Amino acid sequence: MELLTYLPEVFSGVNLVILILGTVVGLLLGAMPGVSPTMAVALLIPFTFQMDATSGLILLGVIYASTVAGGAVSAILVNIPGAPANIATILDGHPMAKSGRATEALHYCFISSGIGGVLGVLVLIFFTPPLAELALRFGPSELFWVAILGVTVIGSLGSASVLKGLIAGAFGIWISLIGFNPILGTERFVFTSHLQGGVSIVPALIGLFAIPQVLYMVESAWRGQSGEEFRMESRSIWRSVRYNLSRVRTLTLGSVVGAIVGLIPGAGGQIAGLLAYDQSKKFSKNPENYGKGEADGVISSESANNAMVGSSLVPMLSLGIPGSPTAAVLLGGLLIQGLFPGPDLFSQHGQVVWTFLGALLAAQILLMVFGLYISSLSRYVIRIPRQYMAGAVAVLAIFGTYSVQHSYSDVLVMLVLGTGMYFAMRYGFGPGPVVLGIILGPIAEENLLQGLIIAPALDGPVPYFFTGTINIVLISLCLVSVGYSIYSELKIRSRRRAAQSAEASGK
Amino acid sequence: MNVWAQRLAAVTCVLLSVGLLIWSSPDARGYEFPRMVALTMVVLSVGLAVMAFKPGKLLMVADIESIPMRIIWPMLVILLGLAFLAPRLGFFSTSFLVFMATALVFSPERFTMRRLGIMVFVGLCFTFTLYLLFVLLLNVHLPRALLF
Amino acid sequence: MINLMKRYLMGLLAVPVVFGLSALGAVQADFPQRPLTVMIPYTAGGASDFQARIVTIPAEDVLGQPVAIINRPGAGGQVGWNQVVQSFGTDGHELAGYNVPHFIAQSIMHDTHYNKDNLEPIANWGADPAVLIVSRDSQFDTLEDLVEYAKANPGRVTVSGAGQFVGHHIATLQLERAAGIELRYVPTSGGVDAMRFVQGGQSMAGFNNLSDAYRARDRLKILAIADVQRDEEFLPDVPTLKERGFDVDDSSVNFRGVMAPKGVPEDRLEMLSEAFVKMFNDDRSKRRMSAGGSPLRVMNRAETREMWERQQVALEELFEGMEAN
Repeated sequence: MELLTYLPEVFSGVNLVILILGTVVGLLLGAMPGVSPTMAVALLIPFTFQMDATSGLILLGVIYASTVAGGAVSAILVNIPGAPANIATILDGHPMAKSGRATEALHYCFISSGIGGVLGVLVLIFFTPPLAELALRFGPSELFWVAILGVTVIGSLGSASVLKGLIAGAFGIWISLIGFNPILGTERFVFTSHLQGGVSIVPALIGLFAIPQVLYMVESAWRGQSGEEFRMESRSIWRSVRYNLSRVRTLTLGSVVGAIVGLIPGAGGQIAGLLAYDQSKKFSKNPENYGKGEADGVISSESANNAMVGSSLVPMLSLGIPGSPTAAVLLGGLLIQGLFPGPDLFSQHGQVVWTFLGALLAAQILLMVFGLYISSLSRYVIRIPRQYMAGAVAVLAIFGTYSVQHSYSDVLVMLVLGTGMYFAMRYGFGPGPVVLGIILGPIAEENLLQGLIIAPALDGPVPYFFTGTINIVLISLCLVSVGYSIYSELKIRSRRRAAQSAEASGK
Repeated sequence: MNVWAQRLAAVTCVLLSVGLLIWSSPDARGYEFPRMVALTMVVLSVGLAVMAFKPGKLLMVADIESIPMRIIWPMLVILLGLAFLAPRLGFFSTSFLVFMATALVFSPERFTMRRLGIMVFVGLCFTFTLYLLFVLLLNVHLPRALLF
Repeated sequence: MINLMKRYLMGLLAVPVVFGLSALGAVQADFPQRPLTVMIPYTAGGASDFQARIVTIPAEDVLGQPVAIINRPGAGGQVGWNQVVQSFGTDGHELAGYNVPHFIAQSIMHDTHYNKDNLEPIANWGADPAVLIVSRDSQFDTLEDLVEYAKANPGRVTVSGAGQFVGHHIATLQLERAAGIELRYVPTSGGVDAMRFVQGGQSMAGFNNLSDAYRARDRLKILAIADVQRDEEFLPDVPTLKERGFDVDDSSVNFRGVMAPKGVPEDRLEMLSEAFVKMFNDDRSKRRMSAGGSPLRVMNRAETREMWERQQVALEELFEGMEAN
């Protein structure tokens, strides 16, 4: 087993220092609202020039894993997701925190991240060749259905009214199409040069979540609730570990969904958490608790996020096809070091690759340990007076947005979207569906158009989009997902009505 | 009140989506998908409007909160100032100003010189941390401007 | 209430005071006085991006300042290149990477803000020819197999490439004309995606960068190269389209280099051109480029300008009578 042969390499000298520092720095960066994993990895690439290939890769891989996990801290405590991956964590993590269970939520988040992460890396180590083949089979028609499957999640995204959620989602998809037609390259909807780059995911994510939160914070500061919005309870880690491990089904579901979604080429990885959350809600006995502080929501979303990290590297290492935007950036780091993906990578650069995989595995465990430690420190974050917090979040949002592409237009887009979102939120529209739309819109359009170009060369569009094993599986999943959403919505309503009439007759 | 707010939201959605649909329907290629999306949004918005204007008991969930403009307008002004000043003054000096302005305007406590001192100190620490993080650690190239 | 007003005022007072200072203007010093940025209009991890990062590694030794790579992807490069002419400073610190024929073709076919005349070449580092690839288990073993099949089944052979009006698209058009066949070109969002389409069987064939194909050569069959001569260094066994009787020249070769917006002072352009040529010839960049199968072709300002002009003429001829959609 090569992994064991190279394991000592992971814990020797420089590599160990990079591993530990990388995990801590990554967790802290990820925890900061406005700092996304893709940006952190991209900005750290120049650092790896001075390192040898192994250390450089370890740094990037560790930062990738730990920023994804760290993003949950700001999601739970401040209601701002650190990355698109953490959107689902907010839905139950923040309500948990508000009801005085912040420490508990953070514990679940890091334990699940660790477990999901380890599983993801194990998938990467043991199943790379067959899974890489599977990843290659996702063509335009399959990816189009993946995007549609993503849209069906909107019903679970926590809007009180599903219809408003869908409208917000459609709006998100539409604004993601501003800029250029991906196939023809023609400009559309660009009425100011600031919109030429379109609405990209990270600026939109920051704006839609952080700016409304800033406005909510100043409001509560003004009303005199300057201090903590909620208290953090003290809770023994072991209790959390015991409970978390008892949720075997949720953990498995989250990790498996995360690992599968991570394989899908392109932006798939970003919706891993949401898909897992949605599945877990649908399989749950009490779906009405989701969105109100259900621990399973946090567990499924976070285990999926980190399982996605390992599996998104499967097609990247074996075929050079990244499974997520961050994996794409990581690929750049690999190429610069003269390491070229493919079967050769493992045979010719075995030492580098196996040490890297060992380090990734170690990083998942380290981030669980450090994460749990950080959870207990988080009480100090809560104590920061709201008016300071609001200013700091506003400023970090600007820096974080600018740093992604060094574009001030992105900052303006972020501010406009965020301010608009604040008003829309007061009318019952959530930011979650909008971001989901922005993620899925370009995937859906590009693959639909490519499919329509390819289809005439085969048997025409209908057979192209509606036959083939993966297509049929995905379409059935979409149908089941929609059907089940409607069924459970009706069930919850009738249960609520029954409760109301019982109450009325009791009076 | 709630009924009228719901109706307002529904009408806004209908108008917005119809606007997007018109915008997505020029006589050119490359607009097929935006047109499909806008059309879907029109249908959904009309659905929302039908629910909101249906006579009788309102079937919608109470999900509307009033907007405390009286409280938040200074923050909107600060954000606007931030957007305008950051590329002209420099990111760090603007950050410091924004941080100070937010803290000064929204502190629930009474204003004293001692509090101001604390604010300046905290603001400077915060700005310095930003510098360490983005310039020294992450090597971000911030746009050149007059001040720091 | 007075207290309240006071607090609003205090917060807002600071703003105009500091803004007044901004009228004082900036100070000039020697060039370059701060790190240079090179904007690459493609995603991080793509061929243009990682080559740019490799060839600028020696910057600190040559220029005394590091070079930072910034990615601003979108619409096959249009988003980034539009910004070069619209919002880049002309003091020589803000540079951009170019890909020819991409940007010239786009400026001919689309309504772009840039064209070869409002941009200034600095130096060219690479020339990556387009190669015709099919997957390992494809029914085609040679170029002739493919052409024959396409003749029998017009419009049924799908060919993937990195986008509309990039080198791969141009090579496809040229092959169609030279062989008298009809192919179905599938534009994707980049070289990596185009390669995925070929490997996964979503498209029957593809034109892709020589460097990317070279690295994936054990999973592909490389049928031909769209250049005037074979690539002796990396793929000596792959024939050119021309030697197989299809009159395809080197218009589709993907030249990569560094440019600036028009308006940068002449002496700075000269200085930069010299420095970048030195950087591109540095051993460190050469070694890493060659390991990745990326052919180097270093050209200075004058040579690059001449190449641009030549391409402009060739592409205008090629697109004669074509609709931009």
